[in-house]
Amino acid sequence: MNNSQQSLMEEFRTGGVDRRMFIRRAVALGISLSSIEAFMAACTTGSIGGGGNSGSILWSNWANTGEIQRFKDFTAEYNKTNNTNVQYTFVPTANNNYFSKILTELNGGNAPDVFYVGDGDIGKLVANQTVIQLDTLLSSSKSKEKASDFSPGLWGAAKTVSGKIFGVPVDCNPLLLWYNEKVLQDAGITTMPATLAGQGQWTRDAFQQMIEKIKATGKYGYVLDSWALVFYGWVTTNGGKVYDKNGYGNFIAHEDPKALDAFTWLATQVRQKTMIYAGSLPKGQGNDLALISGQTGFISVGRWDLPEFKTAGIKYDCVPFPSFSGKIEPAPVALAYMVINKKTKLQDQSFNFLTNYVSPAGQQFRLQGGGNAVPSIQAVTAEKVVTDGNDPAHAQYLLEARNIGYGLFPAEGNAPGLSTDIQTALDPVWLQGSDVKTALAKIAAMAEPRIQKGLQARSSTSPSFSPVVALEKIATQWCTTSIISALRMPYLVRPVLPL
Amino acid sequence: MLQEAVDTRAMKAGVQTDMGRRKQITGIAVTGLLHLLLIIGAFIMVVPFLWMLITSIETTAQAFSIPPSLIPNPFMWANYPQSFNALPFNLAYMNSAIIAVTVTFFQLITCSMAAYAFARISFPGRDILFFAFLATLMIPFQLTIIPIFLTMKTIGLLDTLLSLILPPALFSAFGVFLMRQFIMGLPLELEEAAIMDGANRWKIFWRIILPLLRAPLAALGIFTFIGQWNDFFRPLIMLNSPANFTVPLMLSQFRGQYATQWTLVMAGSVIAVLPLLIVYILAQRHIIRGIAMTGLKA
Repeated sequence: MNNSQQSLMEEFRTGGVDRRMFIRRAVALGISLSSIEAFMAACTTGSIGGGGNSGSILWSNWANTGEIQRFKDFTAEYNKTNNTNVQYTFVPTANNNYFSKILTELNGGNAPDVFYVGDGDIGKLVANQTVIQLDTLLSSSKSKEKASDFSPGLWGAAKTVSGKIFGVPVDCNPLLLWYNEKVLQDAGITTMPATLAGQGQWTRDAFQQMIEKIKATGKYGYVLDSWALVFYGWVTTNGGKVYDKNGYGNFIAHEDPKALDAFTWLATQVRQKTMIYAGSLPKGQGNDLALISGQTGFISVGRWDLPEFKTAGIKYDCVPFPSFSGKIEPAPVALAYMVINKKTKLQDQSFNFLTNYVSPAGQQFRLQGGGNAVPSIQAVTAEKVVTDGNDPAHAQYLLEARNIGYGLFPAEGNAPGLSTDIQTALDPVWLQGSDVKTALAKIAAMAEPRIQKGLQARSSTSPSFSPVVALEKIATQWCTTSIISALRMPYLVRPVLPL
Repeated sequence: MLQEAVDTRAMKAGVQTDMGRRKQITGIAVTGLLHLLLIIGAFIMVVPFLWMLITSIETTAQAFSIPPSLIPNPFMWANYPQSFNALPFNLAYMNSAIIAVTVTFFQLITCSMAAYAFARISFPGRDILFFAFLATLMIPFQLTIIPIFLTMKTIGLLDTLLSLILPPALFSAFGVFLMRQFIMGLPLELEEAAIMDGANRWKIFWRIILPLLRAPLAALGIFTFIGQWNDFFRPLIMLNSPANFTVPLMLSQFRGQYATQWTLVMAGSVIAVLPLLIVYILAQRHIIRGIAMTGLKA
């Protein structure tokens, strides 16, 4: 680029010439159209990048009252210890409609620099390329941890088939069976499930005997949560498969004999009322409350209910899902990922925050003293927050379940809304006793095109042209300019017409 | 003969008295039954509120015990300060009040003026414009949120209370429709007489129409206030700073991804519902009339 071209660029950058004049003079000076386009795009997007300005980074997640203080403390500590010119600010958001807010902000170019995404939503951000790829950064010297420090099953839809990583699990919540010891004792159960698990005898038959005894006392043996991930837990611990190709392929539960057996067994238990489907409980009454109030012997949840169980003052413990082998088998893990907004102006500083946040020290800081999750990273120092104090007595199972567990299957995570639709499609099985195989076959037929579409969206390297998206953009721009013009209207319309 | 006539009259009178008594008894029975039904209805309506009050002073275990414990033991009054101190509710109250009062005030002005124009001023394309106006009621808010978000961002109002005040204060299709229908029902002669007396358009609106709109304005004002006070989605999208959060946003913070602190939610809900309760007590005559009126118009 010669001097005249450089001075023109500088003039435009500093506002000396307007956009139209810049294009005219640039063409006259022989600057290629692609260079003009790139330069102008850089100038335009520079103002709308991430949520923070050049000296600040905004990070956001969903948080309840208990967690907000923890995140504020972490941010304050980070600002203090890193002592950089960048100010990190935590923006708490309600869990309800969190992803709608993030999507709106991403569309408006106003999203936080670093933020949480749920395991069922990350696939969408990977597909529309609004978050940055992290695998190279994770393997660089800038990172405090490597991708291999995390259990391989925890990546879910944050990792593509080709191994590209777009989000890092912040912590995790392996699903275990939690039980109310008093309910079990009242039913005449003397050997607790955790003891059986320690002896390698924690099988589905042993579990069934227990829930039948509990049912005989007029209570529910187990509350089957209305959550697809819980159903899958019963399938995989029975040795079955839900999706082929390591979770990236099609839904195959209707063809897999062990998966079919697990679903049929669950349906039978619900029919015999040894289990109750949570979808038939009154609205707002979750399985946690059923356990606390002694209405059920078992529920399947993560560590998130531990503070609630402590407050309620019940005697509780946890145990892995019963399995065909009597030993611990892979079960689901509920996850959230931390991602970096592609439009952030401070990528290095954003990554530095992320890598500290998910590091052993970061996770320990956030989860110690009553935390409600399990570290996603395999590090003894961080894991102590789970086992210290022996609460629950067999807390070690949380770590074991994490080590062999799996996040939401990528095939499902990449297809927006599929998880909820599967859950709804199975409602007739639990509520009306519909045929299991037929319901699963219908799910397979419904899921296949959506899974393929999800895979295609992620495999494309550049955003493809979509007329709908283009029209949407035009409409949005038109609406914006019209409203702004109306607001700036310098005159008043005063109709002077007869009655 | 005379005695017979007297006896017959007495018999007739006796029969009439019996019939009257029977009618009276039937009337009392019908009224009693009606009242019983109303009491049952009122009880059904009030149960959720009572449940909220009871749960707000219980422990989590009590709140979900079977059978339900209707008298808390012990009374957990601590839920209230705990709920109030967990989050800056005082700020949230202030923010919600500013938004609800300002939007209500401006919406009453803009809606009544627009409604008068649509009802009484003839101009080309008026009806088409009005139907286009009404058609916006059919567009879900989720579709317009991104343009509104971008507009607010462009004019620099994101994360301010003005981003929540400006759009509804300027425009409400429902409000305009409600007011227009009412104005259409007013006799035209009133305005003709005013014109004969030399009143201009503004005077007619201000001196004649507006005073007659008191009842629908009260109804619209109450609906708008309640709607703005309870709004969750728009504040969620527009606001980021906790100092600007509204009451529903604060309340939602008690709900985690998987677990909810129900007793604190209920205590917070009681705190949140108090202003609405006060508004209702002060303006219940207008609310009932407003509901009846909008019901008839619909």
